[in-house]
Amino acid sequence: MAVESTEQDWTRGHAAHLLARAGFGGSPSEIDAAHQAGATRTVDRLLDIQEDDDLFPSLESFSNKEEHIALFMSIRDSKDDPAANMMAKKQAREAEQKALFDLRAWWLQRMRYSTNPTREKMVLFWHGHFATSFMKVRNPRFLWRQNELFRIHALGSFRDLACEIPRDPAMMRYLDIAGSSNTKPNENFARELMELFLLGEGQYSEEDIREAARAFTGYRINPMTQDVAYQARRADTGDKSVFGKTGAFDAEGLVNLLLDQPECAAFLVNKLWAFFAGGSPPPATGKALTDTFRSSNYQTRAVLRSMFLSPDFYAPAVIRSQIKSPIEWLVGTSKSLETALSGTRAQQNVLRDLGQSLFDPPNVKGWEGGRAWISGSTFLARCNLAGTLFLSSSDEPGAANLNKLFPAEIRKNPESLLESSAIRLFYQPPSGTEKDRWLAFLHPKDFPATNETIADLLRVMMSSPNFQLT
Amino acid sequence: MNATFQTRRHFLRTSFLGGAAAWTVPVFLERTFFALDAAAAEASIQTATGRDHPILVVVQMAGGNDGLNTVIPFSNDAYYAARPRLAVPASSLLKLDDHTGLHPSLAGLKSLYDDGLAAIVQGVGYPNPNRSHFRSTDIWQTATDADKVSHHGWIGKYFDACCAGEDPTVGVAIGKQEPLAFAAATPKGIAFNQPNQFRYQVAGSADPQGVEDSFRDMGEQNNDENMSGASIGTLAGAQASGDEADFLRKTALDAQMSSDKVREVTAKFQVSNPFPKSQLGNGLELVARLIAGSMPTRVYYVSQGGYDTHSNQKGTHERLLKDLDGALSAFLAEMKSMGTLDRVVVMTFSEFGRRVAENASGGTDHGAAAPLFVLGGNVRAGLHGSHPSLTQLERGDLIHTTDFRSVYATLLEDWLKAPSNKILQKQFSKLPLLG
Repeated sequence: MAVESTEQDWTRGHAAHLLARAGFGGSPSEIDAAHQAGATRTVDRLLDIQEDDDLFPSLESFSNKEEHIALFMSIRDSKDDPAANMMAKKQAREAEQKALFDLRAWWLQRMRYSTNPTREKMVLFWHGHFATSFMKVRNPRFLWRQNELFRIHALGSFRDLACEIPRDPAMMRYLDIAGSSNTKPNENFARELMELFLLGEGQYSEEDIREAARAFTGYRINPMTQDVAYQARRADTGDKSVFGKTGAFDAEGLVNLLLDQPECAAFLVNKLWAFFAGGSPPPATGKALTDTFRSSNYQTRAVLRSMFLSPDFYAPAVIRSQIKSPIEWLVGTSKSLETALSGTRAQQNVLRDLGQSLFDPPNVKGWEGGRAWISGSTFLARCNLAGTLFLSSSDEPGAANLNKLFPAEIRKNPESLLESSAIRLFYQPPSGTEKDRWLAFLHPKDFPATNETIADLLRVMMSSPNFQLT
Repeated sequence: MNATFQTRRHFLRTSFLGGAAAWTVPVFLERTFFALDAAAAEASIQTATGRDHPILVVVQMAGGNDGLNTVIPFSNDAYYAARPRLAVPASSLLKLDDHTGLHPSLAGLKSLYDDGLAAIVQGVGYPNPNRSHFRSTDIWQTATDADKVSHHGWIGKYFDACCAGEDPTVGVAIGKQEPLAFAAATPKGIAFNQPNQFRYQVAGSADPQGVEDSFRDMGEQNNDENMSGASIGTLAGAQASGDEADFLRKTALDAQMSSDKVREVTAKFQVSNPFPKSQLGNGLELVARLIAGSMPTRVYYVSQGGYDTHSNQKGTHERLLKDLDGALSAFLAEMKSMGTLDRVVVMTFSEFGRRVAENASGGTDHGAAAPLFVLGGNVRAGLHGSHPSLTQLERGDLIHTTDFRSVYATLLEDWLKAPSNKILQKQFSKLPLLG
């Protein structure tokens, strides 16, 4: 791959593009720093993890497994007393909702503040890839555990991650592994494993699914310990024939068999390219990335490094051509405007209204992305919420500090104010008809500009179609 | 400055309306000059006045509804043999005849059936059924053969063929995003959940008028090149070019144009029948209010999820069908109260039915053919098509007896008066569902 040419052509716009796609963007000074560091150093810094866990202490709600089990017990023990049972269920529901809220806030903070933004972006990718929803799992602790699993393997071995998935309690519950047994195996997980997780639609037969489903039997979640258990008498330990290979595959054996299929690496590479760059990779680049993925035995870091240093990743058709996901919109704007993001109720509601509630993807395929993010109503919601979230004049936590972002010399005239604002929000100076429109908006205002004028300008700029692109 | 924007905006609107003389014509309700011209030029172009055109309401039951436990062949021993835990006892069914009964949760649909307002098409599916939720949903939405991929939906192709020049609200989806069924060469249709949030809000601004003017101007200014002397057809074509920025501009413009009208209508019209407080109930209630407000909408799209009952199906399925039944009954009752029963046809669908035999988790896995409902004042009530055999199966699944595109062809030809062979790109035989 032509790493040299990526390094040679490295512009501030490229640095901004990389930070936005590989992470969640950055402030003007963070982009300047990445520009000065150069392509290779910036990519390596993004991919080499320096643990920052001390910044994000483990959640109170999840450290106490006993409490969760106690709630489960009180529901079970009150079965014969309808009033007490209802109360116990209500308590459990409230505890679940509280824990889910904390979990979402915790992850949003990680995305906003982590020194490893690419790892968090990959956790988001894996969450959409191995999509699992609270709506069915109903146990925030399982989802937290899954989220940590994604973080551990975020940039590491995809093979290791894929082998862990069938014994991940959240996934076990979401795709019905937890109840599947040798007498009548449940096909839900086996089907999605092939269609959505490892191979892609059309790369297998219905017979492959039926056979594979037999390997995912006998796995249970013990409600008392919340750990995964294997019940041999419920497991189908016989021979299974999948893709022409016959053997007594268990869950891990079957996942490894699928990982050895030639389609698997290309399937993942295409999905990673669509997520980070958009669309499909040029054929030669796609092939090179697939070879890298396969020859490294599925090292995600290796394939991302090649991708982020490939000139194709910086092609004009790639830059500012992707519709921001609601998460990118929220976290990215917070980084651009250097605001606090703690995952407040308001911020979580915004994500719900824009169609990306964490831990609640619409279905097992995850978020469709791209144009599916935008309808008339979500477009209007983005415009409206940009104002209320980031430009509130009250003491709303998370509003931009305009005095700090726009010092006196920038406020002097429309041109300097507009240029500074555009570089913050779009990573580039304004141009074309948009520039004319925004200057026209500023024309009747008094200068030096007041905070009210600046807030209105930012509101207008964040309501533009272009602001929805990254 | 504002004067210039004002002019641009009016220029845009007049372009939509086909001439400067149209300045005073309300944008949303009446037929456009362009559409009138086009209608004269090509007979298949339709125009909607909001008061007399036929309306189709599509109800998606997402997840794969267990058709066998919805319309139940209770006289067939094979049904009970395949479902020792999940079979609904014959004694509790709502019997339609000596062989077939509805799930006990469907009391409202049974009344509609008895009142001559409900048709049931049995065994609907397609050859080489796909058991993936997503792929099979796409097949239903695009009306293609199972081995063909299309990026345009069957309703979108209808809009392309028959609704050029119509308002974007010709298709309305209640939800966060438009369904694939609406995707078209010239995209039309809007999607929203809550009408009161479907607007540009400038609260908190120091200069609300300036902010709103600038917002309203953006879609238009970016299309100046396209606007000068261009027809609406080329404008829309340019917007559908596949470029994300163009897509965003078009969506923004449609949202601006539609939001005022939608809010006005929904604020003015309320329903008089109680709807279930569920996603589907709320969706159909909103549709009823939009119909009451004479929106120029031809196709409404609402959905209900949760039918993927791999485990512990019994209670879940009962609850889902009850919700469906309550929402559909309320909607039909509302249409009756409003005097619009004869203008509306409702069609339900699900991406597939479920396996004939239950699984070990008290649920059912992905299957194939299933029944669907067609409701309205103009339908021919009764059972249509034949129930698939319970013993001659394909990999444990029912073999379809009616192609879903025959249902589409019937609705397109006999209800929307559209050329089905042009839209479905094949001739499908029609069913005697209407008239």
